[in-house]
Amino acid sequence: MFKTLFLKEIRVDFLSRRVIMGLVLCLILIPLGVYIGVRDYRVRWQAYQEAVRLYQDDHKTVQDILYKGGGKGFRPPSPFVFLSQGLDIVLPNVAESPSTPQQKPPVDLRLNNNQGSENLYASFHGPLDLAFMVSVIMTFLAVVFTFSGVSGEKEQGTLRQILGNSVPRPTIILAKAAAQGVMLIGAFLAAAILSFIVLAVHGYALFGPGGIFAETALALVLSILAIGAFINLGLLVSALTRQAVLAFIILLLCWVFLFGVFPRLSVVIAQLASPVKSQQLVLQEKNRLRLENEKARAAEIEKIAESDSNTQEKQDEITAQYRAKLTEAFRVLDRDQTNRQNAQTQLAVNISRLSPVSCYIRPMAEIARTGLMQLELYRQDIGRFGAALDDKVYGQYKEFRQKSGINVGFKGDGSAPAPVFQPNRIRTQDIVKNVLPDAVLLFAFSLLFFSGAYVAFIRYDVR
Amino acid sequence: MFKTIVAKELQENIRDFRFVIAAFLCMIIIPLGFFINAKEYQTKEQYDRDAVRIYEDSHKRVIDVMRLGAAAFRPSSPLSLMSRGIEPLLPTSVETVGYITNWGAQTQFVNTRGLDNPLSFLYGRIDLSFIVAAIMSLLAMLFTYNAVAGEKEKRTLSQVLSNAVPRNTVILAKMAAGSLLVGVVFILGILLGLSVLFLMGHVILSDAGLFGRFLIGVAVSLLYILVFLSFGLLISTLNKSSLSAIVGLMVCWVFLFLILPRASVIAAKILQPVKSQQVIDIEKNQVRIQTQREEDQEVRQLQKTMPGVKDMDFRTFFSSLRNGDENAKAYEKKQNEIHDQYRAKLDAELNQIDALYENERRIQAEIARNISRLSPVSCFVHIMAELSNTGFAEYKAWQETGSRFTQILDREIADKFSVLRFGGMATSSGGNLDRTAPAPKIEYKPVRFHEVASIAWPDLCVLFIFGIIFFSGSYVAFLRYDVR
Repeated sequence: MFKTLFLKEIRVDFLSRRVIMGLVLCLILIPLGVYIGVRDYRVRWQAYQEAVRLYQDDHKTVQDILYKGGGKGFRPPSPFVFLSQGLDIVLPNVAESPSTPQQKPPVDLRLNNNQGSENLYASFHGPLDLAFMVSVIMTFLAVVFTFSGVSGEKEQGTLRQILGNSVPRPTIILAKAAAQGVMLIGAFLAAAILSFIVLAVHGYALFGPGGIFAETALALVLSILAIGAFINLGLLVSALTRQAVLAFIILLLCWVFLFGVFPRLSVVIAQLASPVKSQQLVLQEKNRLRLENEKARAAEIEKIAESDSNTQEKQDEITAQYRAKLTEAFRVLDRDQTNRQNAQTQLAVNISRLSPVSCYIRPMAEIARTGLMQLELYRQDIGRFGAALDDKVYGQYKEFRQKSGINVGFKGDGSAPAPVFQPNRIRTQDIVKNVLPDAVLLFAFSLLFFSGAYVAFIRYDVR
Repeated sequence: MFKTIVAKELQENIRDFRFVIAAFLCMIIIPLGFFINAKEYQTKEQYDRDAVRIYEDSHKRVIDVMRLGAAAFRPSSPLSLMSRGIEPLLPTSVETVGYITNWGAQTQFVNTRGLDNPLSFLYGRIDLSFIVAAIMSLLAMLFTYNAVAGEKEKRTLSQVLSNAVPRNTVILAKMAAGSLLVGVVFILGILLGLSVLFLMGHVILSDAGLFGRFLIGVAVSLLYILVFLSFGLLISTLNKSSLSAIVGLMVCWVFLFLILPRASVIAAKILQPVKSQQVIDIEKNQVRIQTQREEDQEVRQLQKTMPGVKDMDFRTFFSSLRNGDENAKAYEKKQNEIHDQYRAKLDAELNQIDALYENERRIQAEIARNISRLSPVSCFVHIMAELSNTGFAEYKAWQETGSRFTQILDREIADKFSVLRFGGMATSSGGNLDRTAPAPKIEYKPVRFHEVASIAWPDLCVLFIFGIIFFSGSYVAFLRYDVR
């Protein structure tokens, strides 16, 4: 009986104009989005390589860093940008040390985002990546596929005819969910296969070193869970209403709320509940700390310079003490800012998890390495690069103050190779760990909506 | 007759659950959006002021700027509650790179705002532009999707038309009633939002210019809502069932709101590829280093060949200069001439790189903008962003501010001292540079209304045309509608 009902649903879907239109849309848009993402990545990768090459040609030695505009650490673009552009446009793509040679450690690398100006127009409307396709188009199609699943059949009077036979109600609702799932997820997987062909043509390998299997498999699983949640939501609303139009309007409002309103509200609630200083203010506070520290250090050294026990060692010792003090002050400031920001982000993420759309969008950004994990990792990499610059470049500037004046000089090896920025890659197991709660929540949403639809259908009045 | 049909439509719609939904959404979301954005602006403005204060405390004199570098900050827009536009990508400040030398001040735009709240970029914001573009357009379509097709299904349309009622009166009355209802609900939401702003003491209520722009934004929003009401009516008159009308409308909405604007950006990128800013910055740095190297070689050559100084060592040279030796003075003059010549060459080359790059980028943005104008949603969000000072006019204005800031630093500092090099040694002479003078500053000038109007008027015209086309379409379709 289940098979008969399932096949009937599939046949009805195939005869429906809106379903065919949806499937065609899905088969065209998803591979197109992937193609555009891959193309965009290639352009960005070339720009990144060119920037790194030009920089490294100019900055071979320590001396070059001192006199040719400072050290730079470029963030490579993510090859998975076709999965989700996430925060890519606003993430810093370069960290720069000040280009003044006598910069005193700890060097404060400025995270800058100069790719924003290239994407002004793109940021206006957003990307056309897989995360968008699934969170907007596929979920919308799920609504279009299912809104008339129960209430539509009731209006047409076919539901009464079916139930007039000895067909258990659970079998009907299961067959409807399975048929819509197979149709939509089948179309999505067909589009995914087309997308894989696009990726293969552009030189992406599925397995082996640099293979994209793990990330794309994770993205597909999450996408299927998100589509499943909306199919079940559609069935639930359809089973709770008596008219197809009413079901569609309610679903539409739910969709707007879950996609457009709730995730945005979560960010705002977190902002109000746990405010965080702006990055610009933190930078200015650091500058002030640096100036105060330098003033105090200079005063203490000046006192010694006038005494007879003035030696380079003694001055170096004082300088080291002040550097340690400044490093500690920066560390406290950074830690405080990071803790506040993490608290705010965590709060926003947790609130937003009440919407299945948020449970999908943020993890997709993490899988594509364009999310918050990427920002955190880049900050850590930059911290290491800054320490190397302090050690080999800026920390080698020694000054010796005497009554007659100051003698400043670079005491390190100017011809030594310049420290090079080494970007790290987020490990796949870390991503899995990060996105697992969202995947479980998506599954729970799906289960909850289906259970709701099941119960509502069992109690449904078909008259 | 017109009045009777309008009254009938109003009564029907007010009793309908859609009206309750629309009223509820407008009364809740608009004031909530205003509250959230006003609160966010107040916090940001406080942080901006703190950052400027800390900067100004440590940059009081010219010598501070020479030692620590200079910066000019772009404040957040108080009208960002209307539209966030491209604000996360607009520079937060323009800052000098390295020391200001006799080669001039080298400045670059800095953007730290993206890191302040990355999740808000991921999920988007609830500003008036989003509320109107997404939610109000949906509500407008919900009010009209069954205006014709629904009445046909219920067979009330044939009854109405069996009386001596001209068809154009019916369609005009339907449009008028829909517009009145959605417009009133929207205006009520706006009034509630303004009350929230009043209680919070928001700056737009005390500044006539800002409030004027806000009112224009509300008027444009009403025009946009009318466009979608007409669109709903058009699709309703083109369909025989209200179900197919609403499904068709939603598919069109997804296409107009979500797909076409994004596709326009992609098409522009394919048609007009542009180099990345990173590469441009590095190219400019290379030109700078190369020009300075060339100048250095010419100065060395001058030192080796100039009679009277070629045999001097650096001690003799600087002491002769102090003693007023004519040859040393002539060498200094010649060196300054060479420097001026190379600096002019460098400025010209850098300006050329910038101009070429800006031109390519402008063409790309124009292509994207023109394609996206095929959707009324894009036209609307463009206008709202420009009115809110978070659009492309603001970006252009800030670029000009950056150039003016560089010119001020050049005029006040870089042009007032020279560097004299001889035998591997260099001395800088301050000339008429007063190191204790107040540090140069630049005042931020927000984009003026006529600049906004000059960039946004095509979008307004297109939006207006969309309204006319959709309504004319529904009018004609209704005149030919088969009510059987």
